[in-house]
Amino acid sequence: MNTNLREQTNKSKLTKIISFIVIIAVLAIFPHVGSDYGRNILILIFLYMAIGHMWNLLAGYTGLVSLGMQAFIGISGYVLALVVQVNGLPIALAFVVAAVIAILFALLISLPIFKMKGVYFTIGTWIIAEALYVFFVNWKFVNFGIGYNITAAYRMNMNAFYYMCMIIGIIATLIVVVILRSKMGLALMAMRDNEDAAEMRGVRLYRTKLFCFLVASVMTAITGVALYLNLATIRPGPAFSIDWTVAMCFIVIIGGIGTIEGPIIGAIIYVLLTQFLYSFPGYSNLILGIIAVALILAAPKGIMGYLEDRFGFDIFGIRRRL
Amino acid sequence: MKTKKLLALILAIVMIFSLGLAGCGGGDGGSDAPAADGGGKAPAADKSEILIGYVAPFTGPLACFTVAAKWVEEKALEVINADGGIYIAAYDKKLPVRVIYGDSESNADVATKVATSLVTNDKVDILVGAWTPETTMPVSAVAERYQVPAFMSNSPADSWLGGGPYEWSFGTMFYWKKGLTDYIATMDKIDSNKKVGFVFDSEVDGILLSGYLTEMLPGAGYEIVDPGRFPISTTDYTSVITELKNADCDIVIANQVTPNFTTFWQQCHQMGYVPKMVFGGKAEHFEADISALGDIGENVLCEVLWDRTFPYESSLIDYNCDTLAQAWEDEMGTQFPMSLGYDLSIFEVLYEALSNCEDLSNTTIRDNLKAVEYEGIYGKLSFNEDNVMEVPCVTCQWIKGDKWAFEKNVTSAVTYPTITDIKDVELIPGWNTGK
Repeated sequence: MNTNLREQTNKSKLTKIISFIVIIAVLAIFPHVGSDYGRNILILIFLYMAIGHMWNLLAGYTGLVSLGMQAFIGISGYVLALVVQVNGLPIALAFVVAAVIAILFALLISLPIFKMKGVYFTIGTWIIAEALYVFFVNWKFVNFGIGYNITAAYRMNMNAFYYMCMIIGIIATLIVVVILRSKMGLALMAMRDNEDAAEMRGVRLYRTKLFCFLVASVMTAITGVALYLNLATIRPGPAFSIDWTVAMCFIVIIGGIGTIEGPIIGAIIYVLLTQFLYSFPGYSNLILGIIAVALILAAPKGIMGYLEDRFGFDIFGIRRRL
Repeated sequence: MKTKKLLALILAIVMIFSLGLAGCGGGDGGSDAPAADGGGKAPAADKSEILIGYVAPFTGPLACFTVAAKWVEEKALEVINADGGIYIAAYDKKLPVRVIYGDSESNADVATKVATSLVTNDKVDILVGAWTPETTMPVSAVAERYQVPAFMSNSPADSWLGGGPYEWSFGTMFYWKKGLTDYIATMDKIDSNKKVGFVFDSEVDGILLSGYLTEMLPGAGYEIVDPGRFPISTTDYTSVITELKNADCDIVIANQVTPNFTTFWQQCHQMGYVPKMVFGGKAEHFEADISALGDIGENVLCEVLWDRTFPYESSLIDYNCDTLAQAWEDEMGTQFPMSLGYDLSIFEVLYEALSNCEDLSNTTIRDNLKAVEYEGIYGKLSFNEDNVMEVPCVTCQWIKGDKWAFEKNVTSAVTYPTITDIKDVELIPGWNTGK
């Protein structure tokens, strides 16, 4: 009986591995066979998937519902502009500088905001992002509210950029899978469900939260550099806009909060939907809102949450089974 | 277990279907961005229409600027497509022009995404980006990346050029420095203590204008009182007003979005500070906005980018400035918006360029766009070395009107001597600087 079960498990694993390889192979050859439009859509899916994963890591697993992750996107966008546009340095350096600044900034703000809990943490993170917007608008060093056009991004090789974004998307997924399959993943879920109980069982709350916050901040910042390479123009208003976090929330909630597959499905839906809605100028946000409400009512745990509950569906195998 | 496998299969199909869907944009082989030597898109074997991708803020705080866009498009395309469209030699036939709109939602990031979609999915022949740098700068960035000819309309050239130099983007624009020269010419018309108070936020225009005026005003004999830049989200101007009031400023120059200027100007009255002259720059372009101020809107000044009194005639449709404004008022029942001029000039310039195109390759369209030299709703125009067609930015004053609650008078056009219908400037009723 045990041998049969092991064989079935091995077969299932093999099927998953083959499926992943096929999907990645399709994605890898896509720029050479697909259209420019398709390539752009996939770039957006990879990047939104990455930031969705990071928001999910915080809100879905750690219980840290942050409305201020746009701070890291804005900072990294400005790092890109200053490194590449103002100082004429290589784009690769912008990724490194953005990651370092994100760590330092996350460490700095973690001191006050981790003293807050629940809704206070949420509001605290939002206020920090808003404060950054005001600061950048009045900061001469970053050209006040004028911002920059990142002209180096005009001449970028878009196929190379596609692969860069694909790697960012895959790395973000792997980071979450690795964390959640580790002991820390168990601690995170315990912490999300009941902080006090988790602490009683030996989970180091501050250290665990800080680790996840740092990981999410760095990865969001790295993705932010890629997002602004794609946009090629930056201003403080859109850079520090809560729209970024709203997109992350939409992706995670529609896809399924607390699931790894959720942000992937959510990002695909979000990007395709927004592209489709560009054909309805003036009504696009209204339609997006109605769809979001309808989906939440139909599947409160998101698409993957629904599939998990209904069929025990779990592609990445992070659930602990007794 | 079977159910799981089935679901895994369904999920994989959904993902691959999504990829397939994403790939249906045209199947052009997923090329890299075109080579920097100006390769651009080659002419298609056959075409049935000329597509214009028009990105503008149809929603959001800048939506007031696009109120006339579709009305003008209908008028212009009625003429352009009347006889089948524009003759393109490469296809040996006339092609009708069609416009696809994209809403920037008054947001630069959305403008980029919409423009990218228009270029890569809809395969437009020309991109248009209209109204303010929030739209024109990102749309130009997309045009440069994909090497698609692009035409921008109404964006201060001073800020738009910050994203250049442009190879593929062109624009009908004004220069703020000239606009401010007319501000000063209007200020010179009144008897004042020559003290000018600044009310500028930290946005693009606020930074640019405060910088320019700091250079220009002392030379013209004016003293500046500058409380500093403030965030666009500011709703309480007590400290700013107190500083201007204490300094006894006879003149105030503001540059704000409409709701913010409304708040500022109301708070001035509440605090008993009514200068002799106030400029509601950027805020008071439309009659509906100035009417919303009620009586305190009387004699407020603003820059004007097109007016029915301008002495120009359209090259495309059978209207001059006055009859175009009248046609709007007759059909729409509201006062003409000053955006009519810019909206029409887009189609005039594009028609001039496309009429000279032998084919519809990107380089052909770009080269013919650059070569446009014509006389239309903004008079004689051609592109300068920065790809800018310079159009007027003069000063006007809102006075109480007969037909409409408020009507505009042009008070200064020293930078555009062809505009000759200039009126005297009036002081703000009940002016009182609180001293």
